[in-house]
Amino acid sequence: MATVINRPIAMPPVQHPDPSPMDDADLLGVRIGEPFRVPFLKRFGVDTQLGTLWLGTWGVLSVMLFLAGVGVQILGGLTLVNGDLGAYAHYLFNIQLLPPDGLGPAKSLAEGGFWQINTALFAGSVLCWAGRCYERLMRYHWRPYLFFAYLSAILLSATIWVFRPLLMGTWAEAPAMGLNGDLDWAQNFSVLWGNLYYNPWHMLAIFFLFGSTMLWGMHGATILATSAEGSHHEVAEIKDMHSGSHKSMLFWRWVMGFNANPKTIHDWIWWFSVGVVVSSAIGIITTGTFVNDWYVWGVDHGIVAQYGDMTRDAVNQRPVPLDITVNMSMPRP
Amino acid sequence: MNIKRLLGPLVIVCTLALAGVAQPLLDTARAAGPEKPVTGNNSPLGVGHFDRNPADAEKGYGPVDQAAPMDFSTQNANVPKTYVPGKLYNVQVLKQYSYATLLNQMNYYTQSLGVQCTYCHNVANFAYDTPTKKISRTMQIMSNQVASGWIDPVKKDYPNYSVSGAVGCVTCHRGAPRMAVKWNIVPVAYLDYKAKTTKQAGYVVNSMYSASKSLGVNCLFCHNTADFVSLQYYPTNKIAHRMWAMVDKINHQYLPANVKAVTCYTCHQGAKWPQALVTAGLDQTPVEAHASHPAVHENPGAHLASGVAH
Repeated sequence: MATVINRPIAMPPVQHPDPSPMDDADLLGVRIGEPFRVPFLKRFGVDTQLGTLWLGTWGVLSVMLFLAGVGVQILGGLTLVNGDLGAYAHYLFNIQLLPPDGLGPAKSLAEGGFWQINTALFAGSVLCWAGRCYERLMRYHWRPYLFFAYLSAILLSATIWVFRPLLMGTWAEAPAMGLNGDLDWAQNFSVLWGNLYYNPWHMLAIFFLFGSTMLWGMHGATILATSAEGSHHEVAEIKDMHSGSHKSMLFWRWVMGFNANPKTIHDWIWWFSVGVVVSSAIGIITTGTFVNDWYVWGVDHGIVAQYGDMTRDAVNQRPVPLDITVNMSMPRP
Repeated sequence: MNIKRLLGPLVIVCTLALAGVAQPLLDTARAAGPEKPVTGNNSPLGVGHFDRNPADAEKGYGPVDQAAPMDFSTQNANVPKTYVPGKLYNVQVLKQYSYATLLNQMNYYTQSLGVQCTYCHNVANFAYDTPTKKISRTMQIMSNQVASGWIDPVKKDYPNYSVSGAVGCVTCHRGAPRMAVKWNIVPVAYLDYKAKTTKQAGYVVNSMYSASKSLGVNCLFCHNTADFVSLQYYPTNKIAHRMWAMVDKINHQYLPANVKAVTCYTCHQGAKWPQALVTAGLDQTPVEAHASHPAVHENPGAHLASGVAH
């Protein structure tokens, strides 16, 4: 029976109707720098070449906006510490530019003006970078998977920083600009709008996140394990018997009864990765707009375990010690 | 196994270790240098990490310049131009004290703050009012008001939660004329209504962690997990609410408007009960509730505004 699996399958050779001319000067555009090798990078097991860098219009614009945003961030932070560089270093992780109250323009730079400027600059920066990504893909006539993956990440950020504050009617719902601004926001968000872990979209996002890391782990480990048999020529080898890629597929099929091929494993990973940010964005946009408190929502929808009469032991129906029951029997406000 | 392959990870570890060493060094260098005022926090916390107004540095905190000429036009009528040692002049708060008791009290102040007489007095004329002397008057009144208006009622209502000892100068100062400001809290009004935005929730959350760190306790010292909001379960929650209001009062009534520096940490410093309490009789300033003292109630901080930098 086992020999059947290795039966050769006749497959036509893969045709490349229009191979991408990677070295066409028109397609490449202007590049800066010379290829530069850093042999030290070999120690980390990565490629050693740096450069050259394609100088696209969107990329230049993106970097300029980003640097302007960093400048505004440092400037605003320095006004908070009265220009004391030592204090700036000391409070580096605590310095935050807070968003203004309400939706209008901020009253002053200190009361949210810095935050609004920074939000606009960073939004422009990431959108320009998405444009750079799209332009580069289009020059090769590639399909825009990378662009849409990056766009979905931008979607989550924009939901947190812009869309949801717009729906809620105040920029104060957005995170502050700073190194731990989003950390504090996650904490305060959970405190005010109920524990986010009871948000089903958050659950789904975690499923996708852990799932994509698992898929990445499986895929990476499989390719590394069979690289001695040439499986880094993944797609080219899909038609070949007894190649590393073919043996990888057989391995997973025999281990768990199902396998992806070198193309579909990337479909799996791509959709899981995009699923993380898209489901997160849905969870964020529904918080406060449709659902006020996710823990209460969980109680209402049967997610939270209800223990019934806490004054009685569940098994023996004996009263449980007073120090546990006294607070449960108190009326809630 | 090529040992050179460990070089890369080694560089990462060394960089992290260096970064870990650099921050304390940076802090030490900062602490050694002159303390620069920090201000400009745009949050209603007002103070905290960014606690000082640069203008305060020029407002006359610090030892009195003994060589500065005395200007009697700014002094009240009780200040004599020729000072005779051994007599009491211009005593406004400690009126009941005899000369000897007053000296004891003054000695206690110097020990509590770790200063000399010259920190507040011009030794050529002890009756002469200086900015630091005016501040100390306000502080005497404040200390008495805190004891009679806030601490004593708590001790009376919650005897199980009270300890012996009283709040004195040393409870906060602990041997230093100016205290470090740590772990700021929001005004008590923020605790009395539900936060409307995530930003407001952040202020309250930060303050709660400030309070718990200041007292060295966790949330459950005051809160019930089943109902964080309600005050009805634990006495500690109600006591904390009162103390919070007291801190608010101290900051707004007894400290000048631009120095709102008192937090839970100022007294507690990591202990449930402040460790540096004084025994009865040592610092029980017998103030007859000087509620009408002009420096305190009508214009908080007026004593600083009139102070001349010296």
